[in-house]
Amino acid sequence: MDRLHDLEQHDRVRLLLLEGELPTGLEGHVSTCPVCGRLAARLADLGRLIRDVPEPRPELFQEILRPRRAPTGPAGRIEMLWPDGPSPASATLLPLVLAVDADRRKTGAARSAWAEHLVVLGRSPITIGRGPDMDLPIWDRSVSRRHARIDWRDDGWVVRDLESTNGTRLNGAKVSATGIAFVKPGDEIEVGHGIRLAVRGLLPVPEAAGVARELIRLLAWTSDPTRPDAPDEGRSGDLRARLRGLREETVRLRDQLSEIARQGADAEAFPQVYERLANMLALIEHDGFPSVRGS
Amino acid sequence: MVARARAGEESAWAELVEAHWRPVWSMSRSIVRDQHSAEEVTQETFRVVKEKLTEYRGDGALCGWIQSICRRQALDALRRRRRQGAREVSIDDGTGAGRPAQATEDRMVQRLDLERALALLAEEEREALLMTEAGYTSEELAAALGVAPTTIRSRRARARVRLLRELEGGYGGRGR
Repeated sequence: MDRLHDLEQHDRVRLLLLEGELPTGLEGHVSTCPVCGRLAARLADLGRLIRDVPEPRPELFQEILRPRRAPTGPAGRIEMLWPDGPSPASATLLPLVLAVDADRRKTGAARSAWAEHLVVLGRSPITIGRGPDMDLPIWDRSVSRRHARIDWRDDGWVVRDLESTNGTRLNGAKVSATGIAFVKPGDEIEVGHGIRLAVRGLLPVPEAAGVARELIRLLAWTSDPTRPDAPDEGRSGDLRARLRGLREETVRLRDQLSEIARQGADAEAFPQVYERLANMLALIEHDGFPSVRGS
Repeated sequence: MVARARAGEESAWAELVEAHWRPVWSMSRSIVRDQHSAEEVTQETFRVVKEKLTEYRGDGALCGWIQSICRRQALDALRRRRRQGAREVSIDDGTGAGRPAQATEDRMVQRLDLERALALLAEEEREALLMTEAGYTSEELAAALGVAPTTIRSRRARARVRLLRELEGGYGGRGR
């Protein structure tokens, strides 16, 4: 009878031990029964093993205090060489858009390298959108296929919304499809949800080399000595001579740009090169010379 | 401290985190097991704590309140993992660089065996066991999971039986 009682209790204790909540009244059995005692010890070991967790990384504390937050900075930038001051040259000449960079990723994702590096010369508009044919393609769902456009008008660069789904904002203010919003250095253009493009007026030194390389590529057309002269028909000898002059000037500019591209940091020389390039482009445009851009 | 942290005082918040992050870490780590997820749970817990600090009524211990948030985060993480299907639990010991001492190595081997054995358990059994070891009673767990306390207890028992069986095989020679 006693033995049967013991067996009953034994099974009950085993189950209760496994279930993890042993009533205090049954502790006596565990201390006397070798089988239950061993089980209790093994379970205690198991619990210790489970609770024995590695130390956290020391940096974790700092990371909790400074959580990874979506970067607040712009997702991309548009860089333009702005004519500096109201010099006669800048008043009559168009500014050159030299570089457009955009981070295709939406803010919140890890910052990637600038995905786009585009050089546009002259008055060409800059198209922004999700489409692959855009000058500034931004791969984000909130950006429309053709989203916005930056155009040169006689008095400056303006941004327009192209009736996009999620709209375009300039410094937080909505830009309409018909309205005119002037863009200047320091502005921020936002397309879609949180894709922000910083408009900058200065060319940072490290970028000068890249821009110079792009310019060389674009200048290749006019500076290619193996290329025959522009069609002679209907052009005077005087114009041919001027074209030759332009080509020589282009070659000189190219050499200077090569130097900038090679050295990478000589941004001092850049404004001068820019000025001469701008002058040359003005002449070309004035004379109806084929667009440099189309090369 | 809570009041100051609530008022947005940075130093008070840092103090609060300093005081509580290790327990939260151990709980996260012992429930979700792998280092990476545990870090996520820990960070998420404090994010929620910061967000809800204004709702903390101040009755009951602060650590209990923080732990209950941690539990919810850890459970969510476990469920997310279950939904994602049987993902391999990454086993890392977190001992860092350098040659570990013999004792550390032994612990590491034990831990690896444990992780392997844990991976063999049914999701509910593992959940019941790990949450218990993290300090929850079957009643608390039952309430959190929406099942009867007895269910938790039997899941826990099943988990322990299976774990012991697996580990016995592993501890002695090969196989069992």
